[in-house]
Amino acid sequence: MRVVQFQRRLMLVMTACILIFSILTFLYPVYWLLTVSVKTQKEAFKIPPSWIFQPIFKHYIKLFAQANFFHYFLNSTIVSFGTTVAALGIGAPAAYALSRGKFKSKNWILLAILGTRMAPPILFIIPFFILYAKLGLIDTRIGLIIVFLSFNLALVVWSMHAFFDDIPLNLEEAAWIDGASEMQSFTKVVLPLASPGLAATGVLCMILTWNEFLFALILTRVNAVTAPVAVVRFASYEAADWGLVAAGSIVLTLPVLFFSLLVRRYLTRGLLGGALKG
Amino acid sequence: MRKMEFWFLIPTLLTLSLLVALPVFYVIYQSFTDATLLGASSNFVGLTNYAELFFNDSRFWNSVRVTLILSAGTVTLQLLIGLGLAILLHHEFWFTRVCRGFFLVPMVLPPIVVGITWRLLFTPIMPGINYFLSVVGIEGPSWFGDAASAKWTVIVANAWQWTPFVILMLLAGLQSLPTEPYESALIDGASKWQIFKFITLPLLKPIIVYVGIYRVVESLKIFALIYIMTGGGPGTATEPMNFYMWQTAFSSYKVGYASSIVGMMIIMIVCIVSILVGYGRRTGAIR
Amino acid sequence: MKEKQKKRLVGMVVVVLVLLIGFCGFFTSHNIYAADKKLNVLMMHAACSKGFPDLIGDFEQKTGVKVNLMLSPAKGYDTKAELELAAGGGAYDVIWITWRAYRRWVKKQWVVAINDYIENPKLTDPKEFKFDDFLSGSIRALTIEGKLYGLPILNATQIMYYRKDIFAEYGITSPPRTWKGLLEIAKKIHTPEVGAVAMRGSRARGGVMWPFPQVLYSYGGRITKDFLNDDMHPVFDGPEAVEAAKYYANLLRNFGFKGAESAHWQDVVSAMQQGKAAIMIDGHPLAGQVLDPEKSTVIGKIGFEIVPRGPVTRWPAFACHALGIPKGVKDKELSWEFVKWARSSETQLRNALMHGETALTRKSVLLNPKYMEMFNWGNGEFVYVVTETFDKWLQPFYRPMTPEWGEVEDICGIAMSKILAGEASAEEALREANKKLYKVYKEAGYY
Repeated sequence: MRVVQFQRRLMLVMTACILIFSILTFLYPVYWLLTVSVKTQKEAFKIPPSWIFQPIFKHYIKLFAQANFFHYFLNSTIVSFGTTVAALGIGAPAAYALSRGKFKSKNWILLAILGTRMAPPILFIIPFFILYAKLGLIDTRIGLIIVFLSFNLALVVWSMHAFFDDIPLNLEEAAWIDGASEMQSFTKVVLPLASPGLAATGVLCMILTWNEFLFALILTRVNAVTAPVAVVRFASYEAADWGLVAAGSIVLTLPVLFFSLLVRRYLTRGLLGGALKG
Repeated sequence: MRKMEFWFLIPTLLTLSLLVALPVFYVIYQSFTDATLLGASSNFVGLTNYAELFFNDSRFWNSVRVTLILSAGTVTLQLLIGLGLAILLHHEFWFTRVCRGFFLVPMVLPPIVVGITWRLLFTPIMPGINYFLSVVGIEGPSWFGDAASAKWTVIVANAWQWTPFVILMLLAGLQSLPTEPYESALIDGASKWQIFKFITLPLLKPIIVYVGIYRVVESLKIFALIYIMTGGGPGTATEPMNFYMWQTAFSSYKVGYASSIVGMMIIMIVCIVSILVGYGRRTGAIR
Repeated sequence: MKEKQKKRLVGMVVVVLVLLIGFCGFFTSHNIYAADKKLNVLMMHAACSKGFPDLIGDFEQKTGVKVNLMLSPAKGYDTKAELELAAGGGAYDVIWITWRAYRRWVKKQWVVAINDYIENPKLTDPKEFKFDDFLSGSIRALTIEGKLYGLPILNATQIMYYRKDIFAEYGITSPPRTWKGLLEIAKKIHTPEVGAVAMRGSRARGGVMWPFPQVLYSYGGRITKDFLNDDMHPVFDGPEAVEAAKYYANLLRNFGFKGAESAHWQDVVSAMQQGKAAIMIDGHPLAGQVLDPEKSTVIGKIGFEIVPRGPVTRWPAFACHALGIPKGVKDKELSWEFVKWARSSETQLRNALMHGETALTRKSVLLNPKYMEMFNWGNGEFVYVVTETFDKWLQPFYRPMTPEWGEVEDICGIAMSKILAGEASAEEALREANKKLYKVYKEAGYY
């Protein structure tokens, strides 16, 4: 009996160790980036690294005072917000139709929509670049929003369709019996119930557009440059200032971290979509 | 289809046709021309681009090889480590919720930040990976200066970012498994390993396959990591198809040829996904 | 009645007053900014142009012309500017021409020759302008078939930075003057913690192909047979090229700081700055960073020398940007005024002193005592080495700068990168590259 207890305790301890080790592995690189952003360049390059040091905030100040980071941050915010609102507005109703509808082509449509997510973004680079050059949409925020919409719609539909599935039909049926029209049952019954799902999907959308790099790199020059591209520019063209790059990276990441932690309970559901029943 | 459903669907379908389907057709059309970005005229050249790509372009085949190696490497790592950690997390309930918050972090980072972080970590003159290796007595290589180790940097960075995703998905899967098989197995006196091998794994297989397919498709999109970490180097050791295509279009300006690379990519993706989905159907992952 | 008349009178006076004020206002603004005279200037964002927004007030006051200065980031600058020029070019009155684009724009006749403006005594006072003051290497490089198409605005070359203290430790009394000498010294001083050499190795643009031609040409190798005479047959796999590539790979792999084989310029600078390398051969404008008092661990320890020579010659790296006048401009003489002013010694000196610009194009500014005081790295050694390099050692070209250069640089960069990684032998990689170069030039119609 004691042997079994000992074994069990050993297993527990080992499991805990492995888990702690893996959490450290997953978090250390972010911590490392944080330290680079608050260390002087000399300090950051010291081998072995200094675990205890005096943090400085020079890089962060430089980021906003000299490097004009606020402008890029603002661009990212506008583009993410715009795309998310548009994607939710267009995609959520479609997801509802696909969730409730009982028409023959339903599965095909769902599959086709999902299929658009499989297309590698690189595929769209040339057509959009050439088109935008002709239409004068290069280096515009609205141009970015349109492009991002293209691959976020499928995500919204996929994710919201799972959340709508979760809402039992009899709630709506009760509303219909009470005399509500279909539209009213959608807006007054389903949407409020689906609001955590909408929030989670919205956050997912926002994260994807905020982090996007490829299209922002190619389709912007000066005015519509988003934060990720700006940070890379610091790395490539300004001085070899890794502190500044690290600070920019941290500031770039904070909003995403904040919002995803807010809705973390629902993120799993949104990502899995219809793969998991219940 | 009822009227409301129709009107709800139409905006999405229209937008996607315009923004997705149209560009695809445009690219396919372009792949049959010799268009360049510097104006000039573009002529229809039939299958010349594809022939060139297939028979004469060793750099293209290298990029195919690199794509497959990088995808296979990172997805395998993600699945193995992800499954292991998911199972461990499944047992310790009071730990779980806290851990989940932490695991979210790598997943939501912008890929470019992941790239910058790991580029710094793999820089030998900074106290990064090589420093930790030296603590245990191993001399780390010049990561970006050697073809094999450069591939590992990309694989490790990508796996670091997405293993938490696998963990969360598999955890959700584990939590949704029925409990009866476990109860009867315990009554029958099965060992933990036997339970894992004969009950957990088979029941979990559909989820694993689903997550695997998802990760493979996503791994084909790796761009920011390559851009900031290795730039495709050394040589062309970490240059997957999409990076090669980007270079061809925006550095060499050969848009027609680049479109044919995309064409080949589409064919490859369709093949890979069909194989995987077929396997998925057989194992019950895809309905 | 009287009330109404009073009101009308007041109203009329008010109206007349307003009209008068408006009239005067219109005229005064008309005087401060000569309404027709406006200049649109497009410049690339760089260390030297960063300071211009502060300086143009001078020009505006002197001439009464309003300047609309646009600083465009380096990345994609060429593409952006070329789209404008291809469409007629009248949008900008003065335009920055990068070294990459210079020959291309001249060939397409997108910019005008400025020799006439220089030689016209009505437009240019030779004593004030001092044409000879411009570094002759730059002028040589910018002169195509006897005509100059822009005034040099940014000159970059490479020099050797070395750790005087490490040399002293090993009893080395003077820096190497040949590549062979460099290798000898490297063998003596290389350690795993402090690599002997820091040079670029990355395949990217602005990577290995920025320093490597210095080795290549000094061994007698070439990329194309005779660029100046339009013979674009690639000879990148010739025996001299192979020897140069083998040398470079050996140097970086075995005696470079850890990570040199794939180093970007930031890695090279960081290595030198943080004391992890002993000898660095890279751009001279980087001296400011290597010796940045806030970041550097090697201040006071660095000496400077010109780049080593090979068996055949010495061939320092070179890139020269110019400020020119697009073809579609109506008032070219006004544009010339600006160009002249922007590159005058006063403007350059002020910019250098205010913003720490090192990529200067006039000898007098480089050797100006105030400038030397500010940039007295190595106690004046730096300035001396840079001036000597620009004046004596520069050849008329550094890379075969044709529209195909971008692709050519990629091909050569990949080949060198493979050699540096030990993935292919120098013969194999260069041969493969040469075949690709042949195709590129053939498709472009050179033969």
